[in-house]
Amino acid sequence: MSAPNSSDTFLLEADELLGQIEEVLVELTPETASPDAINQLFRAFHTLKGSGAMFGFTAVADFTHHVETALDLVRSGRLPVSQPLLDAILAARDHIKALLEPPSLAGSGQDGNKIVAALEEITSAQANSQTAFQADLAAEPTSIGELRTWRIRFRPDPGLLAAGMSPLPVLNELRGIGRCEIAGHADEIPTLESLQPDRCYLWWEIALTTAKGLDAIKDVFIFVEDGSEIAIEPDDSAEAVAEEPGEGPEVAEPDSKKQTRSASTVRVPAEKLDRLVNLVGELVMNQSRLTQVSSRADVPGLAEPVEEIERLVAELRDSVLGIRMMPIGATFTRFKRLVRDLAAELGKEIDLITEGAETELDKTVLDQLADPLVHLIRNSIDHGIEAAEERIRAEKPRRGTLRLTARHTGSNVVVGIEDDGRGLDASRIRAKAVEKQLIAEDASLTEREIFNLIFLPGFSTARQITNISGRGVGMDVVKRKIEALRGSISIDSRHGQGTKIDLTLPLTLAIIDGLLVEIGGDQYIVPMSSVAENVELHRSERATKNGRNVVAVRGELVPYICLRDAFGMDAGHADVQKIVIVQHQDQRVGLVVDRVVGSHQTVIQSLGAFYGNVEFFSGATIMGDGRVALILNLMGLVRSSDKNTERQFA
Amino acid sequence: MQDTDHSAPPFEVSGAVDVYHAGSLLASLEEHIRSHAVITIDLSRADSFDMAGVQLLRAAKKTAEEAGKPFALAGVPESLRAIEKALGL
Repeated sequence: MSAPNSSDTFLLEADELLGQIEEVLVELTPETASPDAINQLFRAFHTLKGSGAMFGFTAVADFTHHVETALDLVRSGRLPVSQPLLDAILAARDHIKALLEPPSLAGSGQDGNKIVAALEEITSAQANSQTAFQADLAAEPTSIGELRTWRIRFRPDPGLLAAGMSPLPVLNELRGIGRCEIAGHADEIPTLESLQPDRCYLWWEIALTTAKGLDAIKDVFIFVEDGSEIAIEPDDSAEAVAEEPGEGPEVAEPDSKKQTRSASTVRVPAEKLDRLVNLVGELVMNQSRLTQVSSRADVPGLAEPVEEIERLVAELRDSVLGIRMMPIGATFTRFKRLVRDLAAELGKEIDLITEGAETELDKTVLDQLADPLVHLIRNSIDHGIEAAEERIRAEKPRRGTLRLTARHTGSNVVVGIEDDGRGLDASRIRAKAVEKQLIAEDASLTEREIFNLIFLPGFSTARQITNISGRGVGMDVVKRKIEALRGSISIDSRHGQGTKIDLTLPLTLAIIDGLLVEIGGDQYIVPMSSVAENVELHRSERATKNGRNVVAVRGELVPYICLRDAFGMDAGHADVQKIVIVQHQDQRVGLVVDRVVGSHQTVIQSLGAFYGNVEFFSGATIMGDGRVALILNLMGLVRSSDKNTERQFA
Repeated sequence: MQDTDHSAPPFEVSGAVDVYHAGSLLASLEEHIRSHAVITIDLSRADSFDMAGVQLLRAAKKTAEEAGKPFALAGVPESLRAIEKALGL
């Protein structure tokens, strides 16, 4: 594994900057455009241009220059913020992203020229027109043309030299924008004994008289601001630098948050983390073997260190898995753009509200969650939320609301997609299901069961097929994808009021808390998150109802699956067996096993492609004694038992 | 201990006095100051300086002064004056 080279670093940074730009842009309208937002955009593009040129991405730097120019005009009040301008900037952002893709994925240069032409048209047509926005800017002490003296105190990040940078270009650039008196202070340079040669000890007080505004001065510091102390304040007395400067009220970048973040973050390639997780997985397995062996070996003094190792390994495992946890916020942000574009395409007015962006999920889960979420959001916007006129007729607010939420529940995270659209029409779904022969005409189904029919392959009630959400492929794929993540999907809807879909997902895919059970001498693992309770099954208690095995648990009849039957083992039924009752979606199902061994935390090993179609098992784990235990896939088991029941009655 | 010879040889610096060479110069400068009573640094053969180099020379001066030893730079090239000026020193 090689260290990432500097152009990789640039690509990562660029990706972050483009993300920021998108985040700002999708929320920006000509009405809400604030000087702050415009500055943020300008600085992001400015950094992209500068770093791009530095790392040899000249196409990016050249193209970004046009956007920067337009934004600079806006900043200086010479160009109003208009929707075509915002759209052109967004298109430019996408184009830059495309330029940074590997050549095989990049589009043609055509787009770039068109965008530049559009930007130029906007800037030349509207430049110099007076706008309200200009008035806002003029309120800041940054108006053009008026000479002003600024007192700047610049204490660079001590690590600046070590990072291959120097404050010198900053000082020279300041000299370039106005009359500059620079007083360098060498008082903090220590004796040789404690000198770190690549550390910055010098700091500066600068009196700058310029016609440029505060933003232009701040921009000079853009590449050195991380970790540096930069205070810029207007000097109304316009005296020279010899005076003792006071702590300025206008302390520019960096804010303290940014500083801590840059100081405490290390970028690590995801593969390194995956390798670490795998190693910890193997360590956990070996540690549990060690525990098992040591409990059998009667060696005095062995138990204590083994216990200590067990504790440390558990701590290590938790820390390592913690590294992979990422807030879901970044994923949510991507959807702001999606919602904006889709709403515009369909002529609908939609607000996106996100909650719980800080909720953390394993990166693997997050990565695989994006596609299903996109589909669900598309569905909500296309089929759920009505057009403005229809909403007004239904006495609803003109603008529809789409709510994306994430929250923790135990060892799961629930991601919700909720709209206030027209909701699901149970009778239409039912009729459609009957028409497609998915259910019998007289089937007795609860409303929820009817809603769940939309997850069946090939089911679609959209009267008009649009190119936004598909042609009846989709919801079943969404469901399969969520299930592949060991998650589940539930749907709740009120006709005319909206639909809520909840995705329940495990925090991590790497480790599972399981209940170890024994069937026919082999060991199996039931995911603990599904286990509700264990009961005993006496031969005399067995009853049969609707072709299913059913057991009474405190008055409630719970269907059960006999795993010996399911696995094709002989029915060596003992008089008393155990039933592990699991909660599968809204249903309680019993699994009949020979013996319940106990709880077991285990690292999941995939079964591999060869066993990919094995329905009953979702993975395997290696036990302390070296034996393999299969992890039960409840969904597969329940589905197959449903099929058997149906077959019996067919 | 200390060399009491007042006509001590100057410490000669050649090439670049910059962040890349400051580390090795630091060690030899420290050693030179420790073992001489009068410190003269001859810069006539040094050709380029950066901020780290400037800091190093100033640290050497401070070290000598704290030890009560006379300190002087000899053969100061224009490039050093230029960077000191650029740094506002």
